[in-house]
Amino acid sequence: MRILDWLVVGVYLTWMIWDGVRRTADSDKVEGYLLANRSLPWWAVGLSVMATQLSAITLVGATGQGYADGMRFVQFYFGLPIAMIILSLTLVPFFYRARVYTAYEYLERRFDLKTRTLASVLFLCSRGLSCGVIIAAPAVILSIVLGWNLTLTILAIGLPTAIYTMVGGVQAVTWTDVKQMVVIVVGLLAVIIALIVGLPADVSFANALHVAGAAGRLNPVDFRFDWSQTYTFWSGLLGGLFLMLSYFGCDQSQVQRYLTAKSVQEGRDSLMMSAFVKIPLQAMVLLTGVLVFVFYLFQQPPMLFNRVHAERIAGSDRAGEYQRLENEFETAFAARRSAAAALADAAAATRADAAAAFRTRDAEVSAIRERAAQLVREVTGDDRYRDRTGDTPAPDVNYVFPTFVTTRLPSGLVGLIIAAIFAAAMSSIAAELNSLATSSVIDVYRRLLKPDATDEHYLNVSKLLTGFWGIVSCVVAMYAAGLGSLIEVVNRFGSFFYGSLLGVFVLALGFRRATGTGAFVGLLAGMALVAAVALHPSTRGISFLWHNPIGVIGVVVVGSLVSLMTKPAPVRAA
Amino acid sequence: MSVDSDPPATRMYALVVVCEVLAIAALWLLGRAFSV
Repeated sequence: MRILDWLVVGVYLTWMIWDGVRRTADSDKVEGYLLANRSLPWWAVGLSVMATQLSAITLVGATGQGYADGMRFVQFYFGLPIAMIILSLTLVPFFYRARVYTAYEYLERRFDLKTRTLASVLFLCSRGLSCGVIIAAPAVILSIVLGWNLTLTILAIGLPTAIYTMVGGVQAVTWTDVKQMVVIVVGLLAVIIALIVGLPADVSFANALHVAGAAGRLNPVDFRFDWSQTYTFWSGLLGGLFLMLSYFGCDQSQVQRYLTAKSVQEGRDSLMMSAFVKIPLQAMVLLTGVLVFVFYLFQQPPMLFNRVHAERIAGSDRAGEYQRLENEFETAFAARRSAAAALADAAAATRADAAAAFRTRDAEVSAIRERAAQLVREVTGDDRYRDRTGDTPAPDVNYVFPTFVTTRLPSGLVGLIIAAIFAAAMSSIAAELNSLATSSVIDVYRRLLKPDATDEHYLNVSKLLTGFWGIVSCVVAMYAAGLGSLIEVVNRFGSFFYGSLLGVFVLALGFRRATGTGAFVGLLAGMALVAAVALHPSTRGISFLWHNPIGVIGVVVVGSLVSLMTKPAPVRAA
Repeated sequence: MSVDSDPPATRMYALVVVCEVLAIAALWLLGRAFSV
């Protein structure tokens, strides 16, 4: 990073803090601080919904996916538009009618206190940990790629976000989200333009896409039905539908976004923005990764993008072996570059032969990378190098985009993209902190510990708890950064209860006879069922996207049966 | 505010479905057009 880049990042951080902390108007009451007095316009809420979902690891990971495995990841979002329609017709008006602060508050009105408390505690545990992971993941990548101190990187992402969220509440979250979304999109468009301009003079954009197609990178839609494949049309449309229903309908970090809208219709419209924009936006992110792949066909990439192991190998007795692989890689790359140029230049009649020659050379490059990954695994003992995403070692995927940005883009643009990565992280973290504080105050503190305090008291506790969760997240991030497996544990824990929580809301809205005890037992049974499916050797191969419908079915079946055996509580006005 | 005073925008939802089908079709065509 040069001075201009530091300046851009510095201006961005200052702008966000300044813009966030001045959003204190109408935040002198709890409803203003946590829900902006339900007064925000649909377009701001819609951008906030999208910014919350697009975390830094999504941005960096998805471009890496595009590089390594092409555009198939876009199918993950095929269920999203349908989920948004279903939520607009069901949960959005229900939440508004109930005038709730949290999604879990509604569960007490429909069922009972224990179901609400279990749901909110699950949310607090899962999101409290995952907020740390959201900070840790980009911090680890940036610290390795840019040589920054890890602790300072975590604090640079976490502290400004905690400060403006604590001072400005949900208005600070929403209005900074709007600007952060703009920074992200502008940054991505700038990278796409730089990549197209950076193509060799004799390679047109269309020819570049032909080369990407020959390398299997332009494969956005796969209609095969395969339980073990995460990204197919069917897993995205059906499994993704349930995941998106859970995320946007039952996760407080998203529910709170549209509860701030000024009317039911504006809340619905904010979700419609994602319904229209998400698939094209995700395609753009993945296309960026595909273009980075094409760029590195003509400009030599590093043999392995994740350089953290380089020092350990250089200091081991196998340093010479690694160096020989580097030499082989250079030769194989030169041969692949010639084959790629020949393919880009080929007429339609000879394109198939040129593509076959290119694929042979590409396989040679991949094979050398695979041997390098094996060497890293043997020297460092890091078993993650056993896995691959597409033809790329899995630990490399998240390092592709930051490596490209920091080594190939001009000064100034590097700063803009680092700011965009910060923006993606901060927009998600701010929403998490805001929702964690809301659920802590509304579902736990006010409901269980101190029900009769003044509004001012709850406002002060809300601010303190926002700061508390900010500190917890940074501490978790520091631990998570050193423990790769913890990130997987946190993600898996979330997947255990996401579908099951949706099942409770399906029971609430779809089964008039459902009781509180039925919902409570059903939620526990659904989580146990998903855990069994995820961990049992015979079903372990089922892709995680299918865990959500399995959880829903488990909760609905068990919850309905238990409800039939238990007495319904007296009906309460919502 | 009343839910009943804000009826769902059926035409908007139909448009979402149409746009999604078009987006998936466009992505599928992209894959077909540049497959070698």
